[in-house]
Amino acid sequence: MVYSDKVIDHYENPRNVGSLDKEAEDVGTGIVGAPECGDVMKLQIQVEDGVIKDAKFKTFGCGSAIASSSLATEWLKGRTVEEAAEIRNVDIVEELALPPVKIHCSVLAEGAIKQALADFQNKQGGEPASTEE
Amino acid sequence: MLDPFSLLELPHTFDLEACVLRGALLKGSMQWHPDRFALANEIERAEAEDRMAALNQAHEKLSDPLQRAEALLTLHGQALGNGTDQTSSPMFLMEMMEIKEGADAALASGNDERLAKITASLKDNEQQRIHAISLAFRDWETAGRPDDQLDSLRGLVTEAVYVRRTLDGIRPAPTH
Repeated sequence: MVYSDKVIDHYENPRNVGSLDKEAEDVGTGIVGAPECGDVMKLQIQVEDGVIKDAKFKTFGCGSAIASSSLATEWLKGRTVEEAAEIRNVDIVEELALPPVKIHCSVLAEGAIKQALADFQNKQGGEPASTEE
Repeated sequence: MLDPFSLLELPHTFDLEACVLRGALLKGSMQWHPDRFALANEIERAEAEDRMAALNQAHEKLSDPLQRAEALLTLHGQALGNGTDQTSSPMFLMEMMEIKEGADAALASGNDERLAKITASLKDNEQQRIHAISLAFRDWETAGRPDDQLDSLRGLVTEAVYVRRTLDGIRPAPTH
């Protein structure tokens, strides 16, 4: 299978690799996996006044899984929580020109984003971030 | 395409001893072994070869308890997803991630001893899960195969497959 240039770029120079403190009040963590291939993807966001200030990921998986999560962190930074919830796996498929057999990688990334947002919102007690000290 | 149990003319059950599986393969071979078709025409020979290959494949699949469990789930409309299953608990996934991180670090630093430890503990983990799956499938069959247990069976199998893939993903350290 041939990877697109964008996948190779993200794979060779992954953006925002790392971890944030998953216990912190302003951090949301999402972790998803693909049992069939053993992939696991962790994606974290740090939110300030409703805007995603930082995003980090750590992925064990194929080039497409790494590229999908790397791209997701790039897209997340600077977005509001509401805007972040609008990212769809098809956008990732399109941007990275993923072939059909690798679409599940983008589904994983979307799942990780959703989980991270939900985790963050849970920590805020269901309220949008703002009044936390 | 017949399911592996039907191919080997075996009942759809988890409880299949190795000798029963072997017997079923032998029975099938008596009918379809290509040697028996040495004098047959090309079409018949090709069919025999296909049948024999399918029998061998079914035997291999059912001889592995984890794949046998998967085959049973598939028969009950609970086939494992194509890599998009997101039902595993975050705690389990975090554990798998930490194991992978540990294995990566051990590989990078050439710490064979550490890597061997991680591999051994994963193998142990896999065996324990397979044991639990065996018990769960037997209970389920004894209880008359209630549908409401399928979800939990699927969860058990999914996590065990995960552990196995994680194990496969750790390249063994060079022996020299």
